Amino acid sequence: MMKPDGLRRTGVVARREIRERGRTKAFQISTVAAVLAVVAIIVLPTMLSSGPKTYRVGLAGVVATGMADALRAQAASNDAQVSITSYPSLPAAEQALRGDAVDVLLVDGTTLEWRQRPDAALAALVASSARAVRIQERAAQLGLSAKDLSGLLAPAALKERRLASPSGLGDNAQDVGMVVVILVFTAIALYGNVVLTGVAQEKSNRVAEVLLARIRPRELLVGKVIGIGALGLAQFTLIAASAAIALQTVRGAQIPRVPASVLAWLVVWFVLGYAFYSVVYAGLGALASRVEDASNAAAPVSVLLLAGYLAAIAAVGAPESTMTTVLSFLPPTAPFVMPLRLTLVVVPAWQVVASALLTGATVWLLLAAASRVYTGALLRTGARVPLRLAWRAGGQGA
Amino acid sequence: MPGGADPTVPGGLRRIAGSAAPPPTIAAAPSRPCGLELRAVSKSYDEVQALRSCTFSVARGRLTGFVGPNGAGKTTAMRVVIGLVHADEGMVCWDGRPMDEGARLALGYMPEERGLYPRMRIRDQLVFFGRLSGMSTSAAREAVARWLAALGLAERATARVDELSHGNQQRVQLAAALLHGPDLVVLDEPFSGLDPFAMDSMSVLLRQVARSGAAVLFSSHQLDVVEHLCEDVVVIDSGRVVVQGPLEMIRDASPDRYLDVTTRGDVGRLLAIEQATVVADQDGHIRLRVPRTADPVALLRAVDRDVVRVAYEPPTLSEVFRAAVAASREPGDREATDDEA
Repeated sequence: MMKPDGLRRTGVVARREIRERGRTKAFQISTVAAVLAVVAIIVLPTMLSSGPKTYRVGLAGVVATGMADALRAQAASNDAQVSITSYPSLPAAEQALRGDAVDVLLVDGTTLEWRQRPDAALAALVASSARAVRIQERAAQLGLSAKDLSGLLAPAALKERRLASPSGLGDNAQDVGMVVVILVFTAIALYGNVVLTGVAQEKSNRVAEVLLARIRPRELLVGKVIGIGALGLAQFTLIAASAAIALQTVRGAQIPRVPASVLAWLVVWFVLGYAFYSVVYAGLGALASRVEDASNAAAPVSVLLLAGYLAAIAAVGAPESTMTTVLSFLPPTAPFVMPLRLTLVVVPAWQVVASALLTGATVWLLLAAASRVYTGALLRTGARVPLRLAWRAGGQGA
Repeated sequence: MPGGADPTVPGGLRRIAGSAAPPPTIAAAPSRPCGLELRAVSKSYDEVQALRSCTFSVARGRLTGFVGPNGAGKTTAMRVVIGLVHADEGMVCWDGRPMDEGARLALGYMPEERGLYPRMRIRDQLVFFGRLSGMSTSAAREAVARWLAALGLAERATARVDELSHGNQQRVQLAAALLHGPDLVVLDEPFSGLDPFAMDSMSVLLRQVARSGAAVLFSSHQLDVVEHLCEDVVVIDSGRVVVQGPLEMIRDASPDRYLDVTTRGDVGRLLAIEQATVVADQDGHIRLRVPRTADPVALLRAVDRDVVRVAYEPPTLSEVFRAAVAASREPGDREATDDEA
């Protein structure tokens, strides 16, 4: 445990990280760029698409009565518009088709002629219009009124009921789950690497020795992790909030409403996952003597992080399997898999709490181990320090 | 820090009652209880024994120079004091008691490999180090302002460290070590890479720090600087302390004396003095080593009328150092064999 003096020093280190990193142009520019990019990705497609699509249909030869009306009705029910041109002769119609005056030609109500490639959506639209006209014709032959016909064709209304009730996210639950996994992974990978390079930098520019003369290794490590994590969480929240606002504005009611409790757990799991990985990154970052070597030194944990991510992606398809449940308890995968389960299925509260406590306890143990490696490696410059040597030296040191 | 300066007083290089004006004659090192003591400290790295039962002390109110060849163990000894390296045996004491972690974290330390955040502004950086050493933000700000003014860096306060010259970076590094008014100051090669003017101002500063009651230990390869500046010296070789104590006493205690003559005349008689070893003979400048027992008046008879300058003196620190290191490396030397026991 830390003494009050230690906590104060940890706070001083964390505040420095927030202040100095927040002040860099790189951080400010990347934040603004990320917000703009996310908003653009959401807003631009809507702005660029110019309202409902208009199909141009040419009619030639024998045209059934009501065909034009049927086409318009079908188009309207598909959120599209249709402009219809009737041609007196087939050559004139084909001339128009070649000259790109129409998209498709309906000849004698039986043949579709295309300029080159058929458009599946348009083909379906014309086909169903033709079928509707045919049905009307036959109904008329049978002496059925329009009202009888619509009664005859009215579809049976089916009610829906689900046995497994997910977290109220409806059909989009899997998409939301995927987004949650990707967000947590991106945030951990991004800010974990900031911790990694930060530690390697302090070692390579020799500030580490000046720092360790006045602060315990654990205090320095925790302060760094907290400072970068807080800054990262703020940056990520800003980007996520911009995305949510943009989505709300553009797509209105179509975005699924994520319950507040899921959001809260998302933050908790980001914090736990970030703590787990960044503490290990900090310990391994101290092994490198140059910033360029840091990612090599940290390769094993980067692989673990990626494996955890892939396991979570795989779990999206099978949220109720035993494997997924197990993965949601293992500290390296829990930060991805547990929020995923929370999004997709109803998870017993004890499981969430137990898994969080287990991950938290593991972080605590890792912190002790990472501090020891950190101590043993920070003052050994030159070649990369073997982990075993750092562990041994750290056990004797300060 | 035990008995330390109030850390909230910026640059509070506190004056210790009674120690401001050290007495002209200094007792031998072990009888001074105040300050830093290393007692039989040993440390080895794998095959290499870096420190072999090192015992020496650093008194409050005095400057102690720490000299030795490259790889002698100076940096390791300093890191043991700082707590960055854990001794295999022996102990480090402060004011007569084993040094605890609080005392370690409160001392002022400047490592040999200078370390500052290159892209951080000087003022912010120093305030950060002051805060880490327990100062309040306002106290740290005030101390930083005073130090920057004293070091002539006031108008560069918002410059980044990597925009400063080497000498100015060194000044900032020193300020970082002294800002919080530590009672124990450990500086690894503070003079390396400084021009003569910067060395002068650094010397003045270190004297002030010592005068205010702090125990100051610094290592240096520049023996003339150490001789000029320090009251006490510790000479270390191959991890072993070979000489330590007040510099004047060490010089006086040497069995050698030196006759230093500059003459425009004939040097033949000088070179013929019995028992004398010629140390230097260049352009009419002769330096002879003679036993302390030789009669100085008799020696002077060898000096002819064209003499420009004559001096009879104990060895310089450089000569003491060479003699001590050479003696400690003699194979039959008693201490060398003791050490392995």
